[in-house]
Amino acid sequence: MANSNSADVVVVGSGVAGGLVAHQMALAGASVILLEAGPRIPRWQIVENFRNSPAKSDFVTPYPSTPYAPHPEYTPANNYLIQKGDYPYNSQYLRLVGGTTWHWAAAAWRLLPSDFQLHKLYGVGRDWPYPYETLKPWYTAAEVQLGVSGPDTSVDLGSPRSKPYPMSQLPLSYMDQRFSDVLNAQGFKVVPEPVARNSRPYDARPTCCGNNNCMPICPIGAMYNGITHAEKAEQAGAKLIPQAVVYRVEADNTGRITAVHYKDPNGNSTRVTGKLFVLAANGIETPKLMLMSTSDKFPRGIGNSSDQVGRNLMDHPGTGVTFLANEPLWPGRGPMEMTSVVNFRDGAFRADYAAKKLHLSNGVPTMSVTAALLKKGLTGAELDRQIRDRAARTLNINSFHEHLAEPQNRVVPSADHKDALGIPQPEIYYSIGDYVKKSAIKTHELYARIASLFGGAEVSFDDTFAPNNHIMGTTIMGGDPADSVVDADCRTHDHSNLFIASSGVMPTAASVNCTLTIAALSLKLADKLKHEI
Amino acid sequence: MTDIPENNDAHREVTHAAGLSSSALFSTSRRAWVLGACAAAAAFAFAGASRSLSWIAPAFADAPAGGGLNAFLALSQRLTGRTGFDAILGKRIYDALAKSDSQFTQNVGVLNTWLKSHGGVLSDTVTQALQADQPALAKSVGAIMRAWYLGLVGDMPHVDVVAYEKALMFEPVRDVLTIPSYCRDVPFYWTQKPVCA
Repeated sequence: MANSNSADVVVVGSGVAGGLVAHQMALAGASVILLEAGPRIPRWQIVENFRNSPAKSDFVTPYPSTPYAPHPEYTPANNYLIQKGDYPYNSQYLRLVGGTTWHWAAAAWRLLPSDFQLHKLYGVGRDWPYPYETLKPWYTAAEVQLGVSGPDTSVDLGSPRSKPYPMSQLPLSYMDQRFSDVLNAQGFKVVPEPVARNSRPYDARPTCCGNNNCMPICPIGAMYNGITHAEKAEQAGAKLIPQAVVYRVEADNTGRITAVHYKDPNGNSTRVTGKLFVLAANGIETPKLMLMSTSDKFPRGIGNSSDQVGRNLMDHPGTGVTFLANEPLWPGRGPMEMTSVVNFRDGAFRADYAAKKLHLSNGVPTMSVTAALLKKGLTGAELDRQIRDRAARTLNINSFHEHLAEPQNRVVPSADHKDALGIPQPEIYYSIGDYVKKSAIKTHELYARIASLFGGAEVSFDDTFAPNNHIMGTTIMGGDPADSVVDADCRTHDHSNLFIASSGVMPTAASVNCTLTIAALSLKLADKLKHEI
Repeated sequence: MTDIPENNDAHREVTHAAGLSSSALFSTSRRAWVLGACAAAAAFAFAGASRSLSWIAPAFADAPAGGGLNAFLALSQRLTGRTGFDAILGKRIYDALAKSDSQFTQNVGVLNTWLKSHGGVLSDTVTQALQADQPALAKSVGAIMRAWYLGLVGDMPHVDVVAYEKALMFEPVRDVLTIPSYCRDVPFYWTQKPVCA
């Protein structure tokens, strides 16, 4: 068993990545310390926070930022992320036990084989140091751990499988079925989305009953959250320490990591030693921590001989459209997202512009529809009539565009903005290039076409690129220590006992949510670590 | 994102006090309208007409003078086209609005007087009529409607959440759509085409 100051494995960050690694290592008999910067908040409290939030459309409001472990807030803005680039990167992430998958759409996609060979096939971006086949068994393992429901073999999602999904797909809502039928008849490929959401009781969690609140909080735990594995890790013997903000990674002169140092909310510091160290504090906080950890021996920070730590920041810049269909489709029945348009995820066009995925929102539109009508001054029976009419017919579609790894898009510790513990805030340099913009113009045309298929009225395009909180690339994986941070095992090139479990290691962003890939990478990493204890 | 005022520093009030659960005073006719609304578009026309007429019923003609709670409830009936409210929620909304705007109680009285003297104004067009005539009162109408429908009172950075699951926005769709975070039916009910769709 771990004490509080030393363990075989020290994991920094208790989200889906850190939780999975900690759980696997504890099961394997290692002593494990899991350090989490944020507090522990029970599910019921988050649900109450949501119901009492004056800004329910901002999914961060049920998770208040703390002075000692702040995270980005936007209503109102707390300016935690210091924006220095061409384009603001207003990303969200959460710092609490369980991490950011407390709120997500549960989309559990595998990458495509071509996503691993973007440069080889299309001459842009980077390649992974291994093919899809290498990660394939770990995708299967991840789907079992998270509990993924997905379509049967009659639907080809483009990522070869060795086993069926652990659960059959959730049956589509009336709207999603109708959307699929209409678009598929016109040459689109709309598929049921694989999701970490229960279509039957699974892993002691219940079947989804359509509370339609995946974001910001599933009240019943039918959707997977990282808290599941944080708690499983504890039950398996790991010592989880909340409110432990790691601010320094310590290395000896040979390059071996000897300890990490954390502060409690009062600023008192503790040194934690170990044999193996895993950084799993997401794609912004992890590189920030590494870059902060400078010493005479490592003046550019930990793991940074390549100067790539913090660089290659990628997300899935998204655009959207909202329109009124000419038939009542009633979005909002069932979970918040069920289908995606996938025929733009791959093709020769990727040499020229970004791959993308489109997805239809199945969120209850009542609140946004009502707010807009009230702003117009409606009262009386006419208000109720229009709420009903518009709630039935408002469709909203969003997109993820593939972002390329570009070194100028980066995270660094701010030199002049610090949090309450005196820890530098993340400073972001972000830009969106022609590769994405060119694709987004075509996305706009697709939106118009889809809207016309439903006789769309009041078609409203949102062409502003929104971040989708898929923070990738900042501790990038590669075979060459000169231009990457970790190797194929997610081991840092510079430190033999320091590993990274994060979407930060992904060399390509592809066009799908990255959480299942994070989980697969984490399980693959844990398997490696079991052989090093 | 919606147009809902966004504020994270707002004072937050608990919205689900146990006392509310048994005190729903929505009129029987209102419930019947909501439940029956799916049946046919005609139901809308009928219900809409009957509710538009309701404000000239004695209940409104007898609206208490001044800006007290009962005057506010009479005004709210007129503005929302409803014939009754959850009493506890009504008191809470009134108190919050009065706290957020020192002119509010006075405006309640003025609005009731204005409405009495503008008997031909349908509840659907109150805001429009006021904007031409009395813009300050139109603003009060907006605050009242926002409180009842979205459950929000006040402006950033001091927005009070006075209602969630009882906010009136959910009423017109309650036979079809859930109140997010609540479960309205058995798993997979969503595969069915809503009878009114």
